[in-house]
This record gives sequence, structure tokens and C-alpha cells, in this order.
Amino acid sequence: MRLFAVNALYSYKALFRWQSPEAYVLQKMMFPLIQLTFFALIGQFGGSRPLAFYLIGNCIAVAFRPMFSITTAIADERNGGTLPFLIASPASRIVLFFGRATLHVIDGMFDIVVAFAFAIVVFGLRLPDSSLPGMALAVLVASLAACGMGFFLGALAYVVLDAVFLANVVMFALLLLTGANIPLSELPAPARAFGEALPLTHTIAAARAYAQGLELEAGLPLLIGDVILGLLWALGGFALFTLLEHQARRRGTLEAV
Amino acid sequence: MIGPARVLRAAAALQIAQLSANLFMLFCVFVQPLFIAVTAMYILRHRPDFDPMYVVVGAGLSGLWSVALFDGTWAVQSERWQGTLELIAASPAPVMLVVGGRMLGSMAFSLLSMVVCYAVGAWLFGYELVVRDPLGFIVAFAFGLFSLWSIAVLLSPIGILWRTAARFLNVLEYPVYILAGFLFPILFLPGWSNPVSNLLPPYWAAVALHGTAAGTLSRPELMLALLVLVLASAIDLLLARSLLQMVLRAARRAGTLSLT
Amino acid sequence: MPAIELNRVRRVFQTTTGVLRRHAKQIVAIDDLSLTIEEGELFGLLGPNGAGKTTLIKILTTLLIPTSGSARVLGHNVDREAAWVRPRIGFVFGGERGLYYRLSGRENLVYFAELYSVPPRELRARVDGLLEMVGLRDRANERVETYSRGMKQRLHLARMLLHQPPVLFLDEPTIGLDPIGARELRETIARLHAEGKTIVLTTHYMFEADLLCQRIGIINNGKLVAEGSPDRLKQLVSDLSVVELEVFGATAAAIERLRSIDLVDSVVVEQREVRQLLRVQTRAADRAVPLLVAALEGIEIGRVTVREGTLEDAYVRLVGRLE
Repeated sequence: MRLFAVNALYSYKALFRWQSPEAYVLQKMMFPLIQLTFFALIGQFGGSRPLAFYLIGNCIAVAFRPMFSITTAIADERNGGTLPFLIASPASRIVLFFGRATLHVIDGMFDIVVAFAFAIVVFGLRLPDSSLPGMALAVLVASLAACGMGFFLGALAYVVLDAVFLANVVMFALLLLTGANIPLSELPAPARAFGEALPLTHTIAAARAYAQGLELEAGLPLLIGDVILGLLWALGGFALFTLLEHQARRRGTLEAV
Repeated sequence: MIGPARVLRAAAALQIAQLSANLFMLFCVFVQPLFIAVTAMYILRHRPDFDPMYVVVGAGLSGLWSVALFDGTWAVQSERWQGTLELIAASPAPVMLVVGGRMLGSMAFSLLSMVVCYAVGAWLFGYELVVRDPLGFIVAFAFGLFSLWSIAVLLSPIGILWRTAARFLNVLEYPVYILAGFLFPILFLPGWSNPVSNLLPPYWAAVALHGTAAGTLSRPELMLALLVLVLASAIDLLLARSLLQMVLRAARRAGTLSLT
Repeated sequence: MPAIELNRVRRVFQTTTGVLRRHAKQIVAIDDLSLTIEEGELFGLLGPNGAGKTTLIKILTTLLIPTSGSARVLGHNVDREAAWVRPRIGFVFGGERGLYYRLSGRENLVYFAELYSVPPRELRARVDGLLEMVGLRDRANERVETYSRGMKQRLHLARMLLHQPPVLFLDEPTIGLDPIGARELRETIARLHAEGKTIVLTTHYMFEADLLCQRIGIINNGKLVAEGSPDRLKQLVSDLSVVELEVFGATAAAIERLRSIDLVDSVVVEQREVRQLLRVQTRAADRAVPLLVAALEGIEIGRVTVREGTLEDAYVRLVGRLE
């Protein structure tokens, strides 16, 4: 249990390491809101969908933030040289992962809620009361699924080498391919298929449906689908980690990996 | 080649060489404009009066602005970290010239984002891209680029003078996209923000470029935009020179030209 | 006209200490220092770390403004006439920074040549010539990030000479170089001196200053404590003998006993694996030796030698310690 908590705190601390609190707050809180504003207004100018379409899509997509922070936290650990010790420790890997992820998931949920609050106050987004349970669930699922993706990216960054670059590219991919700004039906088939495999796509669809009055139960399949996707991506990351660690042990390059 | 031109050219060449290897810059110039252009194309093509060139210009401008912002803020600081600022300060070449040259290189590099967005429109989407007022567009482009360059030059001493400000400056990337109306008219923004938009040179650059590409900007209106850009550039450059001199003198007094 | 004139130069740094309650602290790096260096001289500035050598060089290279007093190079004030001074000086600071790592050695030199307005027609030839001189011609087109420390230092040397300045400043240039590289660098410095350049060299290698410099200034705590030719400085210790005792297991108490002996001027302890080398400066070695041996009772003594004062000993006498 202690390992769980320690890991969670450590990963979270990594976020604060190099920035002053003010800059951190500004960047962390404001950036998603400003980016949300940017795309929502383009959407409004485009006029093919109501503003709510773009607002909800981009709000849920703010889940890229916890994804980002997990990816960079793992990369930081690698740069700090502490990862080999983590891999070599006898502690259960699952516990480690969940420990790390939990704070990020909660952090992510907070970010998404702030985004929705912003959309409601500034853009006048209207969410019927009946939709709130579903929306809350969607927020949780979004953050969870994104964290799963983040874990995969953290592992991938060991091969691709620059975690921040990778995370930024994926952030844009999410905005483009998950239906946040463009209905999936408008995308060419290969892009659509990739979008379906990404986390957040189904959650965004569910959130939009809830906002239009769909009952909680009816949206559950979509949400569960995204949880499973998130889990699959996380397992993929897990597998990648194990593979890389295995290779590193063979080649004796545990630190360099 | 006469003295100042040599320094400008050499500094610009150095900057381009440095930027080509910089992953973050490559992201700013290739990846981000690419995604923004593609996303905007999909969203805006539903408009009855859709002009793909609008997206090319708007998304391209976003790349230009990002480079001007980030490079301007960090260029001189990075010289300090590399230990080359001392060497530059002690050389006969005026530091302003070296900074100006570096930013020239940055802006030249940033043009790649325009190319990327053009490629998105012409190849990825297969649109026919037309500039209805080519002469006006070229002039507007030159003035716009010049004004972004002068902003970048101004950001250099600001980035050093107020170290914390530099971090906050980075937050201005998207807000300028929004306030300058790169990809939507500013009438979509609350009325109170319009005066702020009018104060931003990138806004006038966007007005001039969008307008000449679409052929909807009259000559007097274009002249107005160009005038604003020139004035802003002049102010930026004068301010930059004073600040830079101030920064260098303060550094020589306090001994902070190097990190040691 | 002297090449370099320092007139009562003072340089104070302000720092703040403490995290919770910040105190302003003033550090006097150079304290009322006056010095004249003639054209064509090879002057050595010797002193322990933190003595102010680098600060002095930074002032003379227009990178630092004196708090008070004046500094002139070739008759021109380094603060107010910096623009005049800059094209006429060249400098090398120790260390690996100050180069553009992603560029090749040649590209670095070309860039700095442009900054110094080297005439375009001569630029190529000069860069090639200098690369040849410092032995980097084979690696000239490789990125500086692949260079060893010694190679980077050599590139800095080439950079310094691009615009053929008459006055050169070298701040601890042989630090970190392998013995062959260091020797080659010293030969180059001697050659540059023979060409008539004025050279100011800072070092804390005694033998280097003795070998190369016509005149040496010893600086400590920001003050010039002695100045003159190596021979003249050695004369400061001509009345001095040095007794070198090799001991095994000298205690702090024993050292104190030695220091308290009247005839003893100073004791410097040098640790050499299991033994210590005690260098005792005294005016009367013959009378001192028995007293020293008595003070070291109970401690095993190896070799004992008596010799004349060297430049190093003069340094110790003036500065009080050996770095």
C-alpha cells in the first residue's frame, strides 16, 4: 500500500519539479481552456454543427492532459535514471502502475471538469440536469482511458526517445481523430478506423448523447468500450516495457534504455 | 558584403542550422500547422463561402507566430547557456545585429509552415488554391513577416530582463491565434476584446493576408494595415535596441553574461 | 604607450544569501589593483582559485565593468571605449562552452570570423591556416560535439587568432589538456610572443609561469601581492631555505608544534598516499633542522632535504598556501 502512495506522490511531484507554481498553474490550467476556445470558435465559424458539439468534444479531449503528464513522468524517471531500480524491485508491477496512475486520473478529471465549467460559464453550454450522472461517468472514463494511453506512450518514448514530442503529436491526433472536432463519418476510412481504436472517441460520443438526453444505461456500452480500450493500451505499454527491459537485460544496457 | 549584412547573414545561417536539429522547432513548424490546417479544413469546408486559401494562410500564420514567439523569447538565453553570449558580447559585432540575424534565420525557417499548409490544401485535400490579389498578397506577406521578425527581436531582451515573464510569454501562443483572427473573424469574439486585437500586429497581418488572398481588401484598407505593421515594427525595433543595450550593460555591471 | 593599464581597479559583486531571510553580501573580487603591462610583454597572472584572475581578465576583455578605478587597453578605456577595444583583443577562457556544438569546427570559425569582420578574401585562407596550426584540419568538418576537451580548447585558440589581434588574453588555457597538448599550447604561446603580441596569461601552474612569462604578477584575494620577473620574485625568497621532510603519519598537533617554532616561517603539508611531505620555510636551515626533528618526536621521518627557495616557495610565502 505504501508503495502505491509513494509512487503516486513521486509521479505527481515530477510535474512540479521545474516550474514555478504560478507558471505551472497558468500553463496547466489555462492552456487546455485556450486551446478549447480556439477550436470551438473555428467550429462556430464553420457552422456545420452546433457549438455544443465542439465544446463537448474539446472538453472531453482535455483528457490529453493526464495522458501528457503520465508520459512525461515516465520519461523523467528514465532521465533521472531511477527506472532501472523500479524495474528491478520485487514489488508488483500492477501495484506500481496503479499507484502512479491514480493521482493522474484524479488530476485529469479535475481538468476536464474545469473545462466544462469554462464552457458553461463563458460559452453558455447547457447541460440538462438529467445528463449530469452520465457526464460525470464520462469524465471519469475519459481520464482513465487517457491515462492508459499515457502509459503506452511512456513506454513508446523509450524507443522514440522524445516523450514531449510524442505526447504533443498524439494530443493533436486525438483532437483530429476522436471526433472531438470532426465527426468520424467525415474522415476517410483508414483515419476513421484508427480513431475508433483511440481512447476518448466513444466517450465523446457518449457525452454528446448524454447532453442530448440519452439515459445513463444506454450510454454505458460506449463508456465500457473506452475503458477496455484504455486498458488495452495500458497493457500494450506494459508489454512494451517488459520487452524493452528484457532486451536491456540481455544487452546490459538497462540504464541506457 | 558590407559589415552589418555579413553579420546578419552569418547569424541567420547559424540559426537555421541550429533550428533544423531542434525537435521542438520542427514540431512548431511541421506538426502543429499540419494538424491545425487539416482540422480547420474539415471544419470550415462546410461554409458556403469556403475558400481553402483562408485555412492555408491562417494555419501558416500560426506556425510563423509560434516560431517568432518561442525563438524570440529563448534565443539569447540559449546563447547564455551555451556560453557563447560572452563571446558575442565581446566581439565588435553589435549584439542587436547578431540577434536580428538570428531572428531572420528563425523567420526564414518558419516559412516552412506556410509550405506545409499549402501542401495540405493542394495535395492532401486536392484543392485549387488561388490568390486573388497576388501583388497585394506579396506586399502584405513581406510586411507581415517583417513585423513578426521585429516582435521576435523585441522578445529577446524581454526574455532576459524578466526571466519569469519569459515563461508567461510562452502562454501567448494560442491566445494570439484567437485574438488575431487567424482562422475565424474576430467578430466571433466578445466585443471588449476587439480593441486588444487591434493592438496586435499579427491581427493586421492576418487581415492583410486573408483580404488579399480573397481579393476582398481594398487598396486603402490594405494601406492602413501595412501602415500599422510598419509603425509597430519601428516601435518594436527601437524598443528592442534600448532594452538590449540596457540588458547588456546591466550584465556587464553585474557580471552575469555567462552563467559562471 | 603601455598595452594594458589598470589603475586602482576595484570590482565588487553583490550576492544574496539565505533563502528565508535574504541578506545582501558584497564580495570584493578585485581590490585597489594597479598594474601596467607593456606592448609585446608576456605577462603571467598567478594566484589561487578565487583570487580574482578571471575577474581581471573579464574586465580587460570588456565583459565586466569595474566598480571603480579605470582599465585601459592600448590607451583606450575598456568601459567607455569598448567598441574600439574589442576588435583589437582576442581571448580564450578555459572550459568546453562557448562553441556551437551542432556546427563543425570550421563553421564555428567562419561564424566568428564574420562577427569580427575578417576581410572576406582572406577569410577562407585564415580559417584553413589556423585549423592547420592548431592541428584540427582533419576533424575540421566534424561537429564540435564530437571533439574532445583538448580539441575544443584548440578550436578556441584558433578562434582567438582569427582577427589577428595585437593583445591576447588566455585564462588558464592549459587546464584539462593532456601533457602533450599542454606543451604544444605553451610552444604556440611562446611563438605568438615572438611575433610581438602582448599576452596576458593566467595560470596556477607555477612552472608554466616561470617558463613562459617575462613578468609575473601574483594575485591573492583581489590584491596584487607581488610583481616582477621570475628571477626577481625568486629573490624574495633568496634568504629562504626550504626544508623538505618526508614523514609518515604527521598529526595536526605535530604540525602546530612545527609552526610555533621561531625560525619557521611556514609549513605546507602535501599528502602523498601514506606519507606526507612537509615543506618548511625557514631563514636558517642549519639551526632549524634539529628543532624540526625534535618537534616531530614519535613520528617516523624519512628523507630530509634542504634546498633553495623556488618561485613556488615565493608564491607560498606571498599567498600563504599552495593550491
